[in-house]
Amino acid sequence: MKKGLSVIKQAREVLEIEAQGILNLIERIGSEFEQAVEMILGSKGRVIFTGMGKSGIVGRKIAATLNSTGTPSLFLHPAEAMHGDLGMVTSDDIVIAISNSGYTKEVTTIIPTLKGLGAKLVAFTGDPESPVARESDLLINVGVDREACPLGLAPTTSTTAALAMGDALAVVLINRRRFNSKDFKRFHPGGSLGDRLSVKIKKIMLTGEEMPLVCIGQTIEETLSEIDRKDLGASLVVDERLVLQGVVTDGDIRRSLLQRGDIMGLQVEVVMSISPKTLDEEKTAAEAVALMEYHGITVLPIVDKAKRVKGIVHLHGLLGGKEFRLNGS
Amino acid sequence: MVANKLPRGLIVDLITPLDDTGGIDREGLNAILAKVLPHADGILLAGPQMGEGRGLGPQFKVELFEKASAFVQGKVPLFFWISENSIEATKELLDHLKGILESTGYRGTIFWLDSPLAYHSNRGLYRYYQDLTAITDRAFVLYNDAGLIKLLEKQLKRGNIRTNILKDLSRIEKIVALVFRGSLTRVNNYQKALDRRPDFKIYDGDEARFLEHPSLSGIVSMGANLAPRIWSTVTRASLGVLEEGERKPGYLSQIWEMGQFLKDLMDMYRRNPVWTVKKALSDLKTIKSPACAAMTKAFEEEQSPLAEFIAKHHIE
Repeated sequence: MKKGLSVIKQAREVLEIEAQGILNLIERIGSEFEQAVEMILGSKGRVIFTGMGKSGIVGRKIAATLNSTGTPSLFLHPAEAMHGDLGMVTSDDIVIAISNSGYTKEVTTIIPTLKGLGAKLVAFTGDPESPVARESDLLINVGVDREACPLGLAPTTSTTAALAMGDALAVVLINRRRFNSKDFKRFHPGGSLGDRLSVKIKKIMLTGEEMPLVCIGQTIEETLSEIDRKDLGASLVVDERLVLQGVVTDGDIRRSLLQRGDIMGLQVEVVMSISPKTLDEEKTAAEAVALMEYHGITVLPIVDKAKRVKGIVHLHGLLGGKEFRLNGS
Repeated sequence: MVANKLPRGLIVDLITPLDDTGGIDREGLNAILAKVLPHADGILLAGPQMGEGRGLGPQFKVELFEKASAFVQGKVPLFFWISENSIEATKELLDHLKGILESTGYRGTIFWLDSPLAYHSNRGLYRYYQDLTAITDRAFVLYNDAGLIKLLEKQLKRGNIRTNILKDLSRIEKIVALVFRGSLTRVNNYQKALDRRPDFKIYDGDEARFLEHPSLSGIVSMGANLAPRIWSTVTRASLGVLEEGERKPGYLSQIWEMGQFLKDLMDMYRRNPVWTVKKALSDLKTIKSPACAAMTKAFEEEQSPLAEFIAKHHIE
């Protein structure tokens, strides 16, 4: 009996501490929060969250909330950023770095590059004097007074506070954008986003004639025409047995055109990306979205074990940017 | 006001080493300071718990301050408990300490730690602190511990600073932090009252509380006299500021084990902390004697429960 009471008491204490952590944020919301909102509203780019460990998970959730409420957003893993993913950041983007201590090495390491790229930096941190806070254009103080977990084994109150601040940001942005039920439907065409993302890919992928598809050896001009026709911004490149050989995007062609001049008569393999990311049709839409967000790509070929193409999914299609269909074919 | 940065982390509630005549054990003081300094983010001198500040007397406190500050040389911030039995005595002690600072030209960070309810009621506290803080250009830290006030056996209505009084006190810029011992509900109320002062820190004065739900400002620790390195590691882990090199695979289980060790250690000295810790340090030859100030003397005869524990865990 005593043990039971102790468990209940402990659990209540945890909730009390976490609730208090959020309540204490109320007075900390000030002009910098307003500036962050204006910055996002005035931005032509995306809101990119970054953070390690549990802060990273919080960043992913806030990015998902912003995406579903009209603010383009994605998550950038700080460690992966140093291995090429920083390429997804542009000068139009706003990066929100989440680090309770403000000293997270992986985050502080990428800050100079982010600033070099011209992206604006907002810090979600609990220490206004930390390196992450100092290097940021704006500081949102998400500091808490006490963690609920003993010995700092896992961040608790601090991650709850960061998540709540992210929700505050999302809700304010919804209101400022006058996001209404029509918009919500636009971003959630298939009912609740959660329901939709739990669907298996084979149910929602584009197949058959709707797939943008060219064969090895076809020209870039023919590929461009296929991309244009299918309107996904990319085309799959296959061999005669429909085995995936690569992916080519309109961006690949544009860049090659600028570098090499007239390329329209060249074969598509000159510009295609080999070894593209792929997924099995038995996976869920949520896994497809996560993979695409993680790698900063917008189309994903769906293949079988022999790498034969079964279909294709597009990020906007999954998140509601295009009309959602329950079977592409 | 001298701009002093409050530390975040481990503040060692230092014992006051005494020789058998009741004077300061100078060598012992230097030895214990040398032991804790590499691991401490701050040191509390003459504190009401481990420092036996209630039983030292003003002259002794001034001497202790002089000797300890000469050794510390500004390496870490010092917290000095200034509370005496009356307003006048407290102001007088503060005046003396201020004189030492001026005469020695001490440039290190100092915070005056005060338990106002030890000698003053909640009523009129704001006006009192306006006067007290005008004496010196150093900042003040409040010490709230209803248990301590109860020990003083004064006919005071309250052992805790009232929440609305604390809110008023937080308007005084020179009051920068609070060391807290008490209920979670009260500290939550205090935090709410202080929400217009995001720079204001609340340190845990209760080790058991800190090990369960750590304050992110830090801890004033008694056990750090014995195990400063472990307390430092656990504190930094709790605050999420461990160095990169310390986050090796399996470090979480090590932190868990260290936490369990500190809890076991705490159980050993919980009942009679000052004498038990002093006895252990004296057995380890860090200080000359386990002698305690008059107030603590009554407990000196017990067998130290720490001796076996120390031998088992190779504490040095």
